[in-house]
Amino acid sequence: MRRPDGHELSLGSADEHDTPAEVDAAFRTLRRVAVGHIAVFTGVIIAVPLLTAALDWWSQGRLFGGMSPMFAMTACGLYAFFFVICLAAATLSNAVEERMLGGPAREAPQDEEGTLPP
Amino acid sequence: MTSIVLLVVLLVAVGSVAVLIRPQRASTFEFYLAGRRVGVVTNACAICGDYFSAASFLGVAAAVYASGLDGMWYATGFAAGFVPVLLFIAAPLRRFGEFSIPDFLGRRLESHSVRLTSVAIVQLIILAYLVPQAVASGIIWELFIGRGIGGLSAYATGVLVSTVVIMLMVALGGMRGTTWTQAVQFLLLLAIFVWLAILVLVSGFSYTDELRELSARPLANPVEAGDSWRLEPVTNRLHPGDPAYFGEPGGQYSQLGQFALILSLALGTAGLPHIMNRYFTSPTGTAARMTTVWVVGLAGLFYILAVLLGTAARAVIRDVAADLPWVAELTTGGILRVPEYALLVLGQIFGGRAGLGLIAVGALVAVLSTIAGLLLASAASWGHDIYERYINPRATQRQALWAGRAAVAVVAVVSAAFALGVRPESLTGLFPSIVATMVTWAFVLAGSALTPVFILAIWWRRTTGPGAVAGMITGAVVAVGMSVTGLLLGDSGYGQVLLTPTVVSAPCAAAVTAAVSLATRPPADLDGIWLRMHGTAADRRAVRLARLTVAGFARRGERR
Amino acid sequence: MSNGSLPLAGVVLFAWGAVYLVTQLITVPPLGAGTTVLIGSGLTAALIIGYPSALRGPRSKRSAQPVSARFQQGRHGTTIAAVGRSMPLRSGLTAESARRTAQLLQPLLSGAAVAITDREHVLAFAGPGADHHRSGDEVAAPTARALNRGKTVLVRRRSELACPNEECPLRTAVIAPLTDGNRTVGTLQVYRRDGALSPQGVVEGLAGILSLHLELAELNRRQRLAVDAKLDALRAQINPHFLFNTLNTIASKVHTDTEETRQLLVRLSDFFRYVVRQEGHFAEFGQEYFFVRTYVSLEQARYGDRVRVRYDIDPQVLTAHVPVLIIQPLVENAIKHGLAGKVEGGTVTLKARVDPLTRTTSIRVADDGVGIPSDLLERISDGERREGDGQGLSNIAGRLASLYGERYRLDIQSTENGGTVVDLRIPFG
Repeated sequence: MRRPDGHELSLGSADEHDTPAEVDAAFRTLRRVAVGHIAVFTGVIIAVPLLTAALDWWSQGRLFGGMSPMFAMTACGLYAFFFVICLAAATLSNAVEERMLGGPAREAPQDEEGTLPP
Repeated sequence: MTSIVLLVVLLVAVGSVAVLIRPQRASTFEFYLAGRRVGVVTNACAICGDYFSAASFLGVAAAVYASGLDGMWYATGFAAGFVPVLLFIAAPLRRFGEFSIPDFLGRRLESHSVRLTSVAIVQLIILAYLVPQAVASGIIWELFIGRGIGGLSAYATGVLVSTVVIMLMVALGGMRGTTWTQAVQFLLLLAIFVWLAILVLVSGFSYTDELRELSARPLANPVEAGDSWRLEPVTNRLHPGDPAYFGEPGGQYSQLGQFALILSLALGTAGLPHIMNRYFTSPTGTAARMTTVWVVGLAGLFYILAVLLGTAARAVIRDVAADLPWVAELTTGGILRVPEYALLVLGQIFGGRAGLGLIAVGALVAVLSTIAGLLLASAASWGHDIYERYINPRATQRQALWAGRAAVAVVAVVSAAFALGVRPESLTGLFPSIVATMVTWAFVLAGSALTPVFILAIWWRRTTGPGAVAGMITGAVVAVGMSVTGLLLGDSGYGQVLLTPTVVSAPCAAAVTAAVSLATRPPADLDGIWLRMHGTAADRRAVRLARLTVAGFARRGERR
Repeated sequence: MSNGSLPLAGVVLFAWGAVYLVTQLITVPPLGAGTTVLIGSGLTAALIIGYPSALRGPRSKRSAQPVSARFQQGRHGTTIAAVGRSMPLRSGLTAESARRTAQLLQPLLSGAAVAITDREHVLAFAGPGADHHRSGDEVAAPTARALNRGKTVLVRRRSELACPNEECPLRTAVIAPLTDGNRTVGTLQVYRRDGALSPQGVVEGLAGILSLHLELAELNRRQRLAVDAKLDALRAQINPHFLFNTLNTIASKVHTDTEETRQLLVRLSDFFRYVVRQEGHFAEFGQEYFFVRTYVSLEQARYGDRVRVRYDIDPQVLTAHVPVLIIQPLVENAIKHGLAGKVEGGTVTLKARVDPLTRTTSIRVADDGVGIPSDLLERISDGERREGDGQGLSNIAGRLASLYGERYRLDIQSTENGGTVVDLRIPFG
C-alpha cells in the first residue's frame, strides 16, 4: 500500500506491528516487574527511618568516624540504591519488551543491501 | 587565588561538555536510535535543569544546616521521586505521545471533562511551584544586593525584579527552554557544587570528624524572642524529653512525619507538569526510561554534594563566626538566623565576594531554569489545551502562542503577590527551610491529584473519564484541606502529617477513581489505546527508519 | 534436577559473615546478640524472597548445546581400571581418540609400544619405534590377518612384523581385534623389544574394554541421530493444512484489507524463517515465544474472534532455555483440538513461570475448549499414537525424554467440555 508520505515503500518488510494480545502480555509482565521493584523500593524507604525505632545502633552507632549507619545511608547509600534499582528495572523492562514485542531483527534490509545497484 | 583557578577550570569543563553534548542537526537521526548515549544524557541533564529549583540548590543544604539528618529527607524524597516515574510512567507516557499532561489524560480517557479538570490542577501545581521560586529570588536579592529600590524592602525588590524578568522573558518569547539550555544550566549548578565541595574538602574539612563534633552537643537554633535572638534547643520529636542531635533523626520530624514527607515528595515528581512534558521529547519509550536512570544518577550526585555542603556550612560558619564580623552579623551563637543563607555564606567564606556572586548566580540560574520550564508547561496548557481546543479552534500558531503568553503573565503576577505576602523569617521556626517546604506543597498537590490518576490510567484498563475527574478533585480537595488545616493548627502533633498529606490524599484519590470507574463505562477503543501506550511498534519503526537512514548516509559516504 | 539451593545457602552464609563483620568488628561498640540475630534473620528473609530476581535480567547468549562430556587427562595411566573409567574411545574410533588411548595404555605395558589401527590405517602409535611407525601408514600384513579373522594374532619373530626399517627395535607383537558389536573395526597392537610376548590375556582384556567403549559410542551416536531425526521430522512436518488455510485466509483478504494482508505475509515468512533457521535442540524461551505469537496471530486471522489468547509470562522465564518447537505444537493442539470444534470459540492461555528454588521452568498451555474424552486421554497418556493426533504429544514426550531423561514432567488434565490443561516442567537452564 502506498502512503502519501512514501515512507511505507522504503520500509518494505521492515514495517512493525503489534497485536493486542501481545501488547497485553508485555503489559502484564512489565506491570509485574514494576510492582516488584516498587515493593523493594518502598521497603527500603520505609526501613531507613523505621529502623531508628527498632534499633538504637542504627542512629547512634558509629560506622566511620562520627557517621552513624543511618546518616551514611541517607547521605549516600540511598542515592546509590535508587540508581541501582532504577538501572535494574530499566534494563529488565527493556529486555522484556525486546523479547515480548516484535521479532528478532529481520535480515531483510541486509539481504536487500547486496542487491542494490552500486 | 586557587579558588579562582579552580573555578575557571570548572567553567571551561562545563563549556566543553556543553559543546560536546550539543545536539547537532546532522545527527538528528542518530538521536532516534535508543541506545545513543548523547541524546539520552542531554535530555537527562535538561530534566535535571528543570527539576533542580531553588529548593534543591539552596533549600536542601539549608534544611540539612538547620536540622541535620532530618533535613535530608527532602533530598531523599526529591531523588526518590524519579523511581516511580521510571517504573510506572516514563515509557508509556512517551509512547502515547501527546503534548501535555491534560492532553495525555484527555486522549487516554476520551473525555473533555478530564482535560479541563487536569488543566485546572496543572495550573494550581505550577502556581504552587512558582511562589517559592519568587520567595527564593527575594532571599537572594536580600543577601546579595541588600538594598531595596524605591522604598521597597530588599526582599520585595527581589521578588518584583524576578517577576519583571519573567514577564520580559515571556514578552520577548525567550522562554522556549530548549533542551540544550536547560542541560547547560544544570551542568553549571553541578559545577558550582563540585567547586564548593572541593574547596571545603581541601580546607581540611573532615566529614566524619565534624559530624562527630556536631553531634556531640544537642542541636540548638536561633529563635526570635521579642527584639533579640537567642539559641533555643531543638525539641526531639522522636523521643520527647531527650535533646535532638545533628547526626540523628528527631530534629524535625516524628516517625510518621518522615514517612509523610518522603511519600509526598516521592509521589509528587510523577505529577509535575514541567518534568513530565520533557518526556514527550524523548525519541522512544526505551530512551525515556534510560533518561530517567541518568536523571536518578545525576540527582544522587547532586544531593550527596548538597548534604555535604549543608553539614560543612554548619561546622565552618560556627568556627568562623567569631572572627568575621559580617558573619557574626547574620548569626546568633554561630548559627545563621535564616538557614537559606548557608550556601551563600559558605561561598563568601571560601571564594570571597566572587564566591558569593557565583552561588547567587547559581541560585538564580536554578530559579530561572525552573521558572522557564514551569511557564512553558503553563503556556502549553493554556494555549494548547484550552485556547486552541475550546476557545478558538481555528487559531493560528501565533494566536495560540499569544494566548499562552498572556495567561502566563497573569500567573507570574499572581505568584509574585503570594510571595510578597510571605515573610521568610516569620516561618523559619516552623520549617527547616521555607523554600523547600513551600515547594513541598506543589509536590503534595501533584502527588495527590495527578499521580494516582496517572498510574491508574496507564496500568488499569478499567479507568474511566468520570473516575479520573472524581479522583483528581478528591485528591486536590483533601490535600488542600489538610494543608490549610495544618497551617492553621501550626506545629502541633499531627501538623506535620497535615502539611504533607499525600499519605492520606493519594489513597483517597485512587480509591475514588477506582470506585467511580467501576460504576462507569471505559473508553470504547481500549485495545487501540493499549497498543499505542504499551506497544513498541512505533518505537521499532522509528529506530528502524533511523537505522536505514544512517546506513543510507554511510553508503553514500562510501561511494564518495 | 540440578539444585539451586546450594548457591543460595552460600549467599546466606556470606551474608551472616558480613553481618557479623559489620556489627561486631567494625562498629564501636558492638551490637547486642539479639539485634545482630534480628538483622541477620531479616537479611536472610530478604535474600530468600529476593533470590528469584537474581536469576532474571538479560543474560549473555550462551551455547544452547549441552556440554559434551570430555576426556579427562588427569590421573592417567596408573591402572587398567583407570582406562575403563576414563573411556577415551567414547567419541568413536578417530585418530585423536586413538592417540589418547595409545598414550594412556603405553605406560601400562612396560617397555612396549602400543598401536591402534582401524581397518586401513594406523591411527596411533606410542612408544619406541614411533619415529618410523607413524599414524596414517597402511596397516601391515599381520594386522590385516587379525582384521580378517577377527581373532588375536601373535607375532613372535621380527621378520613377521614386516617392518621395512632395519633399525626397528620391536621384535614381537600381540594384535587383538577391536569390535563394534560383531563387526571388526580395528586392532589394538602391543609390541615388545625383548623377544618375549606380551601376556595375551591382558591385551585381549584391554581390547575388550575398548570394544565396549566403541559400542557405547555407537549407541550414543544413534540415539542423538534419533532425536535429530525427530526434530527434523517435526520441522518438515509443519502441517500442510495450516499453510493452505493461512494462504487461503490471506488470499481472501487481498482485496478487502491490503494492510492486513501485508502484515500476515510478513508474519508467515517469520514463521517459516524460524522453523528453517532454528538450529540445535534448545532456544531461548523468548524466541520460542515469538514463534508461538507468530503462529497464533496467523490462526487468529483465520478464526477471528473465536480464538482468543492470553499470555502470562514471568520476566525471568524469557531468558531460560527450552527445547525448540515444543510450545507451539502444544498451542496448536489447543487451538485445533480444543477450540476449533467449539462454535463460540474460546481462550488459550499460555503461562510460563520459573521456580528458582527447584530451578524448574514450568509451562502451562490451557484452553477452555471441548476437552478430550477420557478413553482417548488414557490412550494418549499411555503413549499410544493414532492417526490424526497430528504432531501429537507422543512425539513431544519422546523428544523430552531423550533430552532430559527422567528430569521432566508432562501432565495432561482434561474434562469433556471443560477444556484441557497441559503442564510441562523442565529443568531451568
